[in-house]
Amino acid sequence: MTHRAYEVYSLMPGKDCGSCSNPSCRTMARKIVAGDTKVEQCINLARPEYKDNAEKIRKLLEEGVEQGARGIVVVGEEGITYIHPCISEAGKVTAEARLTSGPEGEVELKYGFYDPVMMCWILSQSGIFNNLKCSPRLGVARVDVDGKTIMVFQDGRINVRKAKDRKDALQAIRLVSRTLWGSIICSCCGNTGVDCASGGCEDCVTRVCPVLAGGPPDPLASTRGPSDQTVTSTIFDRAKKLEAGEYFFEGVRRLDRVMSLLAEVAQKISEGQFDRPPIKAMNEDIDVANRLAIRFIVETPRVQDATIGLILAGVSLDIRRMVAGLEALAENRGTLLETSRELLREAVDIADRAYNAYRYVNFQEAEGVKEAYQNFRRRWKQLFMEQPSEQDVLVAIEKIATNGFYIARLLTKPIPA
Amino acid sequence: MYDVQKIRGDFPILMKGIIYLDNAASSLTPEPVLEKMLDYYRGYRANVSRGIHRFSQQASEEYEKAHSKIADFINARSDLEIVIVKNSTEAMNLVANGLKWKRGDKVVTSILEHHSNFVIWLRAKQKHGLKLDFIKPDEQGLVDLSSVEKIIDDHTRLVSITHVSNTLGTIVPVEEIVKIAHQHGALVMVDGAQSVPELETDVRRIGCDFLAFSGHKMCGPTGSGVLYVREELADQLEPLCVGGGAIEDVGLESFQLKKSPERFEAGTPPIAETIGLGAAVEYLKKIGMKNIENYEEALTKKMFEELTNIPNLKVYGPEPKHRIGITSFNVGDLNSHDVALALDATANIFVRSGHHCALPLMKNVLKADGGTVRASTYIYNTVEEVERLSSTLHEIATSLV
Repeated sequence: MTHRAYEVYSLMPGKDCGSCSNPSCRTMARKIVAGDTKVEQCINLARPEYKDNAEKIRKLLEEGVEQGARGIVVVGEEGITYIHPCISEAGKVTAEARLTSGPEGEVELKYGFYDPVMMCWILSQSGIFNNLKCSPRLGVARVDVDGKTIMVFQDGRINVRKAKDRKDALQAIRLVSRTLWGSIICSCCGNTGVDCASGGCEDCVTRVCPVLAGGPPDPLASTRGPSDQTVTSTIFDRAKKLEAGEYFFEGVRRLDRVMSLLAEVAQKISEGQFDRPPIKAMNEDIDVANRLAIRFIVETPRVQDATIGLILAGVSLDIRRMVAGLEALAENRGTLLETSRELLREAVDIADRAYNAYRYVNFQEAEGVKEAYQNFRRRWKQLFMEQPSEQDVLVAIEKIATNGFYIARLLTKPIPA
Repeated sequence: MYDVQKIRGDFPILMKGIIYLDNAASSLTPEPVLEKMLDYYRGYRANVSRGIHRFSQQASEEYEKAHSKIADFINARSDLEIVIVKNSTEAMNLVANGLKWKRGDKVVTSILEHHSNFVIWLRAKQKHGLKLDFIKPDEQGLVDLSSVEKIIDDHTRLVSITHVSNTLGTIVPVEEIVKIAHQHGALVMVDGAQSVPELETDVRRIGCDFLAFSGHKMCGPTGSGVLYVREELADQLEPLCVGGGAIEDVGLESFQLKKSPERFEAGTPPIAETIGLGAAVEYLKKIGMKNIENYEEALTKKMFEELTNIPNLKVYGPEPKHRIGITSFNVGDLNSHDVALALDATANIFVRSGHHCALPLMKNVLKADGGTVRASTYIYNTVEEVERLSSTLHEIATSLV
């Protein structure tokens, strides 16, 4: 019997360190299953404490792992594959839509459609749906909204039951498909939309992301397809002109607040003051920013504008991972070596500079950050090899710098907005 | 030796990587049946009964041969007892509409029934002023004969009851019920839609007066069904339709109906479907109905053992020894349709969900107003498939509830 891809993911160290050049263990696991990369490319799996996990993954691969939803899908009119009366609810209709991940209409789903982990996470973060039940293992989510029951499958099918009529069903599909835009996997690079919008996708530096181009799948949108390709730098100006812009700016304010604490908290931790760092409050602010980002994506009328919301969600993800780095350091509670302390200062500096470059659209500073990050990585690699006992600390520090680097990269890559 | 792999080879549709567990709704069709139907369409396509040319002769012969094969399959006395209809529902409607009712005649049916053997009696009650009474199974879905004895009386004109519940798979003691009914002078119709595909059926042993079953649930094509009518009763039964083919003689004022089965088969019958059904019963006979019964019993037992071990999963109905082929269940508080969709999406397993056209049973006995999930096996299902269902349900029950 073949195994599910989620089993491979659940054996990954889950540090989202970025060392393998993927922004998360989700993408790395997916690429391992697809045969695009090898288990050995994960520095954490190579460590003695993860030896068993690495072995288990190799064994799963030998026995065969299903990616979840390979194959080619074609979307019919308005993305609806069928609509008919409910079996058990008189007067109501049931409808199903199958989404594709690009404007082409026909795509090979090399890695499946929705990233099941991201799918469950976004649904729980959104605050839009009731009675959420989601299993990343099965790749199935079930939610209620306005008297309708919706099931979402990782292969991109959205099934709506108990809708009043066709329009009602389409609106429910639209709500889900816009909400989950960020969890669509790109068939080229294996990253999700939100990974790309976080600056975490290397490929997006050189080409337009097919997941983001054209906006979220929306069965009610009158137009779809690539439009005015602009860069991240314009999103602040554009958001000012939009009704949903207030969601965006409130989200940005929350992230500003988190970033204003980053250096101070890092300083305290490196001095050995582990008591009650404001990690919880920081994460709450990030949650709010993420929820507002999803709301923006759902509510802004033009699909082309939805990218603004997804970038907010992406930057929230970057900052969440930075805070997770701090949290890991705080939990570690050991005294940092002087070399690590120095590296942490450097990482926080990179993060701060990157965030400011993004906030105030400073291309020169973004370039500077990239350079600083390259230097950081060189030193980091050397220390990682030389100091096995310090590896957990170093991985945590790396997360802060790498996610900063991602934010800086947002300024230079051609994300269509 | 039951060679399930060999049987699976006759069903290329299974190569699509699906696990088909919706057999109580409709079975799959094996190649020999499809071939037989295509032979007709490709080789000797013509109408039956009315032509003198070779194709019509050959078609008529195959069509009649199918009647004989079906008669033999259920051990009818002759093929004159085999009336071709489109499904069990039509067969039972024929009886409900065709008997000459008197006001106050009592009809006994049960709470276990599929709507097709329930709604017809509600309508006949309105139309003919019949009295209706119901045999109530216990909460497990089992029928107790002592309660049957209390309900069937000398006013009972007909007892119409299923042999196997389409929701629970429970086997009803129809032979005993026939004895009780006949003691009171009542006729008995058995709904064999779920039983004829699974159990060796002998109408003479059961002793029933009518038996309805569907071809599409037993490897035959859709649109093929059978009403067995005990020979002596045929003339008492009005056909649902009259027209060409059913008529002995027609004058300006009157018409004379033919003998059974023609009197019930007015118009061009489903020729290919009937020939296909003939091939289907031949196919099943070759495997052996007793072998099928034993194999299905083992699968049903395996299904019960597997599913009752899953946390948060409730199996409806009694132990497997009381049933065949069908298992109904629910997972936690998940809607049955959610479970069915998840099984399809995550493991290519096809099951049925909802009320299974048995609302009286759902509401009054199972107290499962939201319906159930129903997994039903047939000759080509394997132990491995049941295990796959079980492991997927285990995942659903532990991660989606």
